[in-house]
Amino acid sequence: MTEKPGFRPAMNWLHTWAGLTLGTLLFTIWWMGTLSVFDQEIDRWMKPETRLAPASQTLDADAVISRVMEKYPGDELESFLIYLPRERKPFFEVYGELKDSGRVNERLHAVTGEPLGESRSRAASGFFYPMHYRLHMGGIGYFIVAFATLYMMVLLVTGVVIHRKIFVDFFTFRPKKKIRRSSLDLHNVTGVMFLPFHFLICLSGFAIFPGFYASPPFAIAKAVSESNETVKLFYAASDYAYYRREPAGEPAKMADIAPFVARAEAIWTERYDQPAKADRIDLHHVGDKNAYVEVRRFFPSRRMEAHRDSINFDGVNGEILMDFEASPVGQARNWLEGFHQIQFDHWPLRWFYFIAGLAGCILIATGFLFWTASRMKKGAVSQPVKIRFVEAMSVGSVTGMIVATGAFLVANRLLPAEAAWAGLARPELEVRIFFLVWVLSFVHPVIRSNKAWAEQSWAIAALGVLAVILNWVTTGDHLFASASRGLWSVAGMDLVLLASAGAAALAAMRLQQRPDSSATMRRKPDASKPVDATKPSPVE
Amino acid sequence: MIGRTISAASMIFRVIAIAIGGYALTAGVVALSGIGLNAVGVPLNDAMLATVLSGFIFYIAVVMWGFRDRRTLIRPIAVLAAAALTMTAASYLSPWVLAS
Amino acid sequence: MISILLLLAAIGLALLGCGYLALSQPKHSKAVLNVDANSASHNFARLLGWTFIAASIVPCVIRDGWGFAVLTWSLVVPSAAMIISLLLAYRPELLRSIYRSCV
Repeated sequence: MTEKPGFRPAMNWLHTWAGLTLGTLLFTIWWMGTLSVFDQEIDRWMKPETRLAPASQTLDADAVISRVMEKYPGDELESFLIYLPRERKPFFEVYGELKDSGRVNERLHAVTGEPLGESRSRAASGFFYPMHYRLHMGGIGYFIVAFATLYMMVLLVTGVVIHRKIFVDFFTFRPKKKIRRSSLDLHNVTGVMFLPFHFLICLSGFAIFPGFYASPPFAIAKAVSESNETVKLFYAASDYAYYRREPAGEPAKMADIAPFVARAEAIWTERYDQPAKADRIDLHHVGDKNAYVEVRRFFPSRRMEAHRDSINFDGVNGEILMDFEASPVGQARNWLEGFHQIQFDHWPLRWFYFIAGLAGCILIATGFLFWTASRMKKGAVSQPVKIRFVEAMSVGSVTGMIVATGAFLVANRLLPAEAAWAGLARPELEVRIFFLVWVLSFVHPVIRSNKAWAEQSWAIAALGVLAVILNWVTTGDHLFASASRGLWSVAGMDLVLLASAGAAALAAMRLQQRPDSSATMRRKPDASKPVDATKPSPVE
Repeated sequence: MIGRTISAASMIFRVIAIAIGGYALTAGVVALSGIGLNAVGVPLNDAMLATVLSGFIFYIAVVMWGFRDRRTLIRPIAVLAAAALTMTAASYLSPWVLAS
Repeated sequence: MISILLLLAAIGLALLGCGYLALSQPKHSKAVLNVDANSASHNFARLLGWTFIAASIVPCVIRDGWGFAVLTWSLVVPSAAMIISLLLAYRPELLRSIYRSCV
């Protein structure tokens, strides 16, 4: 490793190495986040039993409880949690703790209360979304994602530092030039144009579990010296004063739940001067004298910020025990969280988030492409193994990730309802197929060299079309059927799949024009072409 | 072009010192400034929330500063020293805030 | 309906603005309009560009109020810029017909 003095070369070095080492991780997080923008819509597509029209008149909470308890005659509730139907998720989701039967989990039709049966897929909300923030790796996953996100911000800032002609090149995209040039153009264009949004989306991600991400050094200090309690400072950052009280041990008759919800909604409607709907109801210590009912609202539909609105009622006499309002700093945090979680009701914005997310994916993908292309241009005869390795990594992490996603969707429509294999239930089988295809997509470029880019793009196109056809065959919901039933989530999903297939086919044709990498490696750098004067200093 | 070869070992040390040490330094600075804000009357959870959220920006600055000059090991060592200093100071000061 | 029109208005204004900004740069104005425009007309195009971009927040505010408008606008403008750079690359003649009179 050699180094040139100066700020810009140093930042160039940082940008290149942070990008190369973390690119796979960053693309995974970014891609899964982009998909999570439409998590509920993907869920509707992957779980056909939930393809229900949004209901205006839904069951009340008491009816939901009695509906669930019908299945367990003689049993008693201890605690109960209801997620109320929303526009994008038009059914009840309930979690109960019963005295004899233990935990129960049920999804109910919003109007009839009919159980929807067991879920046969983890789909977007159970697979893509958790992968976005914890990579399905448990606690350590949160920190890996957080660390990668910090370096995404470092990459964004250093990218600005090393980009010499931000304004001159603002609109410059030259797709007909060599792949090295056009990938750098696309890298610059997507990076610069969406810079404010991309930076804020990284930063706001930390607002969701703020203290948790910052506490590890002191958590380690506490583990080393038992007396060090400084980590408790960081708990304060996540402390949102939820109301808690212990059961009294004396039985008492519970009041009806529905009036609590109505009262909470009336209080919020007045406070925020716009119609408010509760999102979630928690019943604690049911049947005890100290029972309480917590009515919560996280995401007001016509406002940006996520709220921690939470009103706690005494479950027996209906008195308000706590009505939480965030402090100004808490509101800033709420704004950041709301900005990141996009649970508000604003369809155009949701699509713009999706576009900005895709722009971020293109940013990362073209970063990889530029690196490998410029290495080949420099006549990397000396390090073909290194280049091959980075190329396999970048193909697998970019197109491979998308191919795996396509395979996940296709598997979802192909696997029979009661599929099980080697002790794995259907939802787990889908996940294994995803990971298997992803791993294979890293092997493929090792064998096929840089033909793999184009071949995997063709695979994406094929899987996209196949998924739409399978959706039609297995559920009967072809594009016009779902659109005419008002199932825009399903119709939109099909349309996006077809559009992605088209885009992937175009990309494949463009990528096929690339010279074969092994040929390039043998050839001397093309001396007849003048070196582009606008290129940033060659990356080290 | 002036070039100088950097040994792999010193580069690994540098990366770890800045990436992990910078994280510890950030935690120390966040804790100290939270304590400071609390001392001037800001409620603890607001103080910590504000400093934690600013801490993520601080970390980026530390990383960029740390890799700014790669000819000597002064910067990574400085990051480690500052991390030790701020974390120790925060550990000694935090009992007062946590007790109240 | 009105909300869709307002959104389209915002996108349209942002597209116009980004188009003028692009044409305020010699390399794009030469490529699109085939003329060596002088610096005065470049400055005028730049002014028009920023004016239209600033104006594109107005329909957003009317549609959603300030809270959402700033965010919508901050995503409408880069998306429009993206479209303009794609047009410059693939269909510059479309831009030519719109902007010929103005620069």
